[in-house]
Amino acid sequence: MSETQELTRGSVSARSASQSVLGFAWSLEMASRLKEDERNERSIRNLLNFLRIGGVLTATGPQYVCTNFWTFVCTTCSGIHREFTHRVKSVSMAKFTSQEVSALQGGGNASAREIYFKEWDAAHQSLPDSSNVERLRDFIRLVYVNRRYTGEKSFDKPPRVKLFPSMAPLQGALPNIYRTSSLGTLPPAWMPTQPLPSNIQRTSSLGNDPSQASHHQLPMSTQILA
Amino acid sequence: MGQVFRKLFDAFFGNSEMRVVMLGLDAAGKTTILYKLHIGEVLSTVPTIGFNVEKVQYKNVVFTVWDVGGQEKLRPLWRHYFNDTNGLIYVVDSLDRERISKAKAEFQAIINDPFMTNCVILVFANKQDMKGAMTPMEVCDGLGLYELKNRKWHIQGTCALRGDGLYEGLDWLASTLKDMKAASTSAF
Repeated sequence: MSETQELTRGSVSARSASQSVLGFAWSLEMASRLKEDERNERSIRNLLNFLRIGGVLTATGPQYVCTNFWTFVCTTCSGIHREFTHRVKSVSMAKFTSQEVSALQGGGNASAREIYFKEWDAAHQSLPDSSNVERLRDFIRLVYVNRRYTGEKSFDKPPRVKLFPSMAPLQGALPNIYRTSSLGTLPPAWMPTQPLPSNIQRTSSLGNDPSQASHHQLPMSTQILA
Repeated sequence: MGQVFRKLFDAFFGNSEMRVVMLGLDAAGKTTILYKLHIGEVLSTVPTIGFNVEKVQYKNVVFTVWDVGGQEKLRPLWRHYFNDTNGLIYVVDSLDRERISKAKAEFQAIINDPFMTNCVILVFANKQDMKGAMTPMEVCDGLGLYELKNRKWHIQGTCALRGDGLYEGLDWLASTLKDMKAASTSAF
């Protein structure tokens, strides 16, 4: 009799122990998921800040990610991208998975530009600014939907010079985290006119013409938004 | 005397009011639908942060439609709009097969909320103009509407850009609301 009591008590305590272990594992899992969410958001904000420090973005700039092209876009463009059934996610209001973060680190505006602006002639074509929604919509349609400047199809125009030559030396000067990302290959026209933190400062000496930079600053910032 | 007549008149012919909350995953077309109903035009919208609210009058019913942002971190806020709501308009992007199970999970969470057990459910299977869109039947299946018990629900294929189906949906809401009011008054 006492033996069975002993047995049942033993099994009960075993069960409660297993429950608490399960509960502990569950809370661990939840905590790690929360941590992962936090970490992902932080990485994305870091990417954004990097663009911002680079002087490419204004403080009120991109708050959205277009996951079709892995680009950061502004609010106006996020609306337009949605019209073309492209998916956009808000940096602050959406949740990002680790895969999305790494895709964004591997992608980004610079690499999207290498694809979609291959045949874009910055000297003769102007970029729309975010105040003109109609022009912006036409622009996004041309660039991302019709893929007009990817160089895939032959148009009646003569082939253009490649727009953004890669800037290999730049990569080494960047913080480690960005070295693998295409953001490390910012074209000269993107280079900031404003002072930079010391670790990025050095890059501004790489063949950057300040007058050219300031000339291009506005349209380029729009381009990145698009 | 005049006032009594006025009240009687209103009871038979006057406007009734209905509070409606419009929910759904992000990029389903909620805001586009709201403004198509409100001003009859397609506005170029941006992702909603927070909410939009407009009054839409249709056939003697004044719908107060709350359109609440649908992105992940805004969804926990939906329940704050549930209190005192007569109807739910759940908008689904019929093109988004990938996220239909997510849409279902959010939908089931809404309609099983204690504040929403009495509300009528109108589902808009939006973006029907797009090639490859799920049919309203498929959306119905995807959301698990057939399994609902003791709920008044209706699914309507819509194209917010052209306005197709939107007023048919409101028609159903209005008539269902009137039926329910009639039933509740005859119960007294």
